[in-house]
Amino acid sequence: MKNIIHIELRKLVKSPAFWIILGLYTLSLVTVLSGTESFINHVVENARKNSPIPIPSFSLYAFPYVWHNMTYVAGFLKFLLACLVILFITNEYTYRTIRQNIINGMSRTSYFGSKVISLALLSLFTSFILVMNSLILGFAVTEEITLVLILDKVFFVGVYFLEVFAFLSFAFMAATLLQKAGLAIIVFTIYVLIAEPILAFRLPEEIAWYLPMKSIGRMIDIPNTALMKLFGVNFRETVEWIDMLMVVAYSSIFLFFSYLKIRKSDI
Amino acid sequence: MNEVILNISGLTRRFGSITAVDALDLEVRRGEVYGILGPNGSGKTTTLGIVLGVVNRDKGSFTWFGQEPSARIRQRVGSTLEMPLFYPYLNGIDNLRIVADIRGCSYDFIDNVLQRVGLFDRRYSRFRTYSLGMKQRLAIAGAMLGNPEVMIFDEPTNGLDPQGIAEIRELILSIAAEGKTIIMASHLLDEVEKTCTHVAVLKKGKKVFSGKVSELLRNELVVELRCDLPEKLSSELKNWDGCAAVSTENGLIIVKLNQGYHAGTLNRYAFDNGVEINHLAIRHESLEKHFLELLAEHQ
Repeated sequence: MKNIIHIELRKLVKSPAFWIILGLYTLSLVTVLSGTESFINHVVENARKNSPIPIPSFSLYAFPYVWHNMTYVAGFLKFLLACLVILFITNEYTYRTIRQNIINGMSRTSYFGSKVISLALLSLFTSFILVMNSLILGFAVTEEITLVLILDKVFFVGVYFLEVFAFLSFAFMAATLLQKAGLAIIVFTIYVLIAEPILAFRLPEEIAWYLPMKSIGRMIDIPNTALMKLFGVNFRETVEWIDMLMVVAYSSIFLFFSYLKIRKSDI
Repeated sequence: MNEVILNISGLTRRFGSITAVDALDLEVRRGEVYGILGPNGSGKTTTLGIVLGVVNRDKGSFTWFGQEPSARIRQRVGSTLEMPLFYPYLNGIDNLRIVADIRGCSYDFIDNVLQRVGLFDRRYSRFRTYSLGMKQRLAIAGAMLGNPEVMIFDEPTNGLDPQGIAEIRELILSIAAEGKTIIMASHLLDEVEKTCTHVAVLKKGKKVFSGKVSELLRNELVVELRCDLPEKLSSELKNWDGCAAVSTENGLIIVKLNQGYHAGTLNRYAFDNGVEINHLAIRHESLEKHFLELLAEHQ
């Protein structure tokens, strides 16, 4: 276990492409998280001018709401991480290094395990950045801070981890089944951004509810900002167990098919 | 008889309508330098891919060291397959560290094998900057890591210039000299003849010959020679049991030998009859011809 993490890290840590993509991702994440409020405020300011009723003003970054708000926003950026995963999984096929790994005496199961660990480490990394960023913002804007207040909705971070991990599992499956970087990224993008949204729109709602990306996206609902209050909509501030179970199930299915492919095919 | 290192029995693999490996039986024993010889597409790489765990089989079985195949057993076999496969953005050392980690062997071997293949000076250069010859040598270095008992080389000189070919052959011969078991796939008869002790000839996935290299060549050996008294030698040779036919060609005497005779016995016969031979060589084109005939017989 320690050994395969070691091997996996050596493959990644000295790759310039890995650092460039991960660096850009982290920069985007921090920028988007830290900039969301001024963006929303801008919209709210405009709305306030035309609003007959006063719009209450409160910060997105205040504990405990910061966890829900930030995990929701961060969810949009996971696509970049998925591209990173696809690139690094397909590299093993492009360079055929997976073949040499197996020849040298790595078992196919270990290879699969090393990749699942990578997905988990990436999900952990982005969760960590999110936590640090949210803590800083939270401490900066919250007036009365108590430990209970900070920890109140921190479970959103765990849900965010699951969301990213499941999404990356899907990317892993796409990369493992298709094996070519360009093809995998195109198919993945078309499915996530075009095909499933169309399906979700065309299918009856009770069936569309089961679609994988829809399930992953449903766990963390849109936060209730001041603007939402203005329109009188009220979104879910909790996470449903059934949604999380669905996502765990989907993630397992993606990983299972990836495992099957690695296990059964010529390499 | 030495211990059986690799035993293959009834191995079969089809790709669609093509049978790449067809009911193949093979046995490699400790200390042998075993050549797998055959034209392109004869199933050499598929066979090696199967015994190295990267290609599936439809039928048949194989054992390494008398045991069922497993990842752990593969760690005892140092191999290259088809072409050198490394991470292009990593340098020589980091690539070999990954190999060492997978093999479960110490990094201490790395400097040593890099020196052995002559890449020590380039150890901090990225793999993608290596020439083809250097890539091949790094692949051999990777195979040598952890001092495995058995090494597999698949077309190790493919695509190299004559100097590169000579270097790789010398390297393989020096490894063989340590008493390691070597399995080498090649489509070049000359390469197998120069390096191997045993050979299996494959054609369309079937084995058409297996045995010692000397046996493969024995059936019809043709030598060319030059001496100061060609007429005398020619007439002497006609009376010799070992000689099947004599002819001259551009001042060279061409002798076809009978089974059981070789260049050494011919030399002795000439010397005993008062003729000193200045030049004596086995005719390679005839070996190639013999090889082609062997393949043609099994059409």
